[in-house]
Amino acid sequence: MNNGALVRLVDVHKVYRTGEMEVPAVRGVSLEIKRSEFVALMGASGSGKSTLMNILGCLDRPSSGSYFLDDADVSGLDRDQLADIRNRKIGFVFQNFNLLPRTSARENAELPLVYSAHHLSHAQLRERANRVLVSVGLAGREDHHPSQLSGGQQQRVAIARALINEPEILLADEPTGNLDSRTSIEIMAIFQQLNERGITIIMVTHEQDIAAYAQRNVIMRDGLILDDHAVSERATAAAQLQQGIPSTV
Amino acid sequence: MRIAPTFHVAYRALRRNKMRSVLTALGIIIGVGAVIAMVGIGNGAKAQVEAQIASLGENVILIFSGSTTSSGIRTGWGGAGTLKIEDAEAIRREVPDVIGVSEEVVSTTQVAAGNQNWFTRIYGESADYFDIRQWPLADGAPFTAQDVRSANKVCVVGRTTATQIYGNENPIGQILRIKNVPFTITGVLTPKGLSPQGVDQDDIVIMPYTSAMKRVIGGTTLRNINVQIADQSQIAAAQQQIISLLRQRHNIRPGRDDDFTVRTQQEIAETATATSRVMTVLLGAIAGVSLLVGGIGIMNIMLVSVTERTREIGVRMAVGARGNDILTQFLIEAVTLSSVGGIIGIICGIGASSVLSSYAHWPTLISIGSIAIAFLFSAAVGVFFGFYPARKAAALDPIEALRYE
Repeated sequence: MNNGALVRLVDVHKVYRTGEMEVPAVRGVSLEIKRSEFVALMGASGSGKSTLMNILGCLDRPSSGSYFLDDADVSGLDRDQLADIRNRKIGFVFQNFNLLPRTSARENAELPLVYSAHHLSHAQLRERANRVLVSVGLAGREDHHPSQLSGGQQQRVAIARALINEPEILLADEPTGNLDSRTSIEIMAIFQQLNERGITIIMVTHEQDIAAYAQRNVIMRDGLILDDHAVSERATAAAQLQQGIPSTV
Repeated sequence: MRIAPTFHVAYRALRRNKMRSVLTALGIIIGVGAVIAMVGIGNGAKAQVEAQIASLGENVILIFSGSTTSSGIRTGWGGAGTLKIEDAEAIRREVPDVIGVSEEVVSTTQVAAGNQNWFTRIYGESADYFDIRQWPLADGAPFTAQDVRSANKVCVVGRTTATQIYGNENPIGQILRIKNVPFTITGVLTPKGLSPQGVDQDDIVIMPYTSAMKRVIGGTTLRNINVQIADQSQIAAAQQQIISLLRQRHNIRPGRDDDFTVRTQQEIAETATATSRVMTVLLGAIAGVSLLVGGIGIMNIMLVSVTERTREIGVRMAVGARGNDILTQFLIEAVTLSSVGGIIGIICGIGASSVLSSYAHWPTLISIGSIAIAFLFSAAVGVFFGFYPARKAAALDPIEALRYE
């Protein structure tokens, strides 16, 4: 059964009911993603990619079909069990950052640990948050509130929050959608660096040039996978930054 | 889930909307403050009544003449002159465990000394009276059993009467003319203050009942007899013995009503405290309603807070908060709001009742018990009214919460 796939979707359907109408959003998707892959999930709006993302992120359950995460079937788990999976195995990065306002970068990064990691002392918590903030390049900004940070910095805080529980998968939903191109490349540099360290990344994007930073592109249309191919000419963010792509800021 | 950061989050959320939190807590502050003050006033009144009843003396049985239907006319206690001096002597002689008996006659009249005069109450009593009522003298000496036997022209006066007639002079040894009979004052009573009915108990002259009957009031019957029993456990038995003794002496056939009324101090106390208990409950209930309104205010604000922070709830759920974690967070916020309001309310209530007792001279009594109950109740209000909004937050769908604008 174990063929090295971290994520395995088998004939996953998702149907939304609006009154009498049944609206299918995902209509039978089977997909395998191996450990340490960097996948970009693409498609036009309404293609079902967001719904698939929610299922992958254990925020939603498939109407039918199975979802194996790390060889465990998570498609039948209840709300609390899904919350625990999200806490331990998945890190989220959103388009609009979704940081808690009026809360320091450190406390934002600590947030997942509040709901687990009961064995850690307050000092250990801080220390872990500081370390992960430094790793995404936010040394010295630990006490800043989101309103005092730029978009790129806010997204870094969100990445730190996603990483603090050392998850299996980093799920990013349009992570560069609110960022300028230079900052987008910076965020992609962090993603590629994390991916090299072995973290599996699934990223929803509709931008072709952002998808080029991934190893593999999965393209959806009308709730089905239209195309699934490896990226032939992969972009390397770190190299681009060194060449000095002009900032649009 | 970690509790310390949850409290921190609650504190910060409340501080962020300072004005709103203060106004919401104000509902609880007023509610708890009102409960504390009202129950304090009620309990104060009750304690005062109880103290007054206790000042009747310990283990006392009161026998009133009359209060029965004679020829269809009910005369009221002390109305029909059915109690004789001999009845009192028979009680003294025949009822066991009696340690004091005082024959009582009462009148009001004008008293005078020098160029001063004063309208006051005259009580005729036996020498046991001061022990029965536990009413010691502040100065001088009471009249004696010998004075009672000889119907001597002696009396003791209450503080009010003494001040009205003699001002700052020492009244002891002075002559007080009562219905033109000169009485020698032998002592001044310790002040007792107002009775529950507002009568000044120190506006009084007490003399041997024999002197009162012979020289001041006239008549041959007693208004009532005060009997003191040695021990509380014997009161019921003594009450029965007194009733059968008096029925026998008054030749009342079985089946006919008594021509006297026997009341124990306990019975009087129960009636009096029942009234003030009703008052306490009533005041407390009215104040409780304002606490209820305060609770509804908390529910309202918590619902607003849940809506405002829908996105935050979504983020917390996305990173792994369970429904219970969210529920706890909002409950803690509601309880913090209500119990901080409760503590401030308790302080305000204590302040209000001390203002009332010092300016309006209302007796107030605030017990640790009522403070504890008020605090627990305010916390309970937070849990009760915070639960619905907290449950609503916990039941949110994480995807929709994240998408909420």
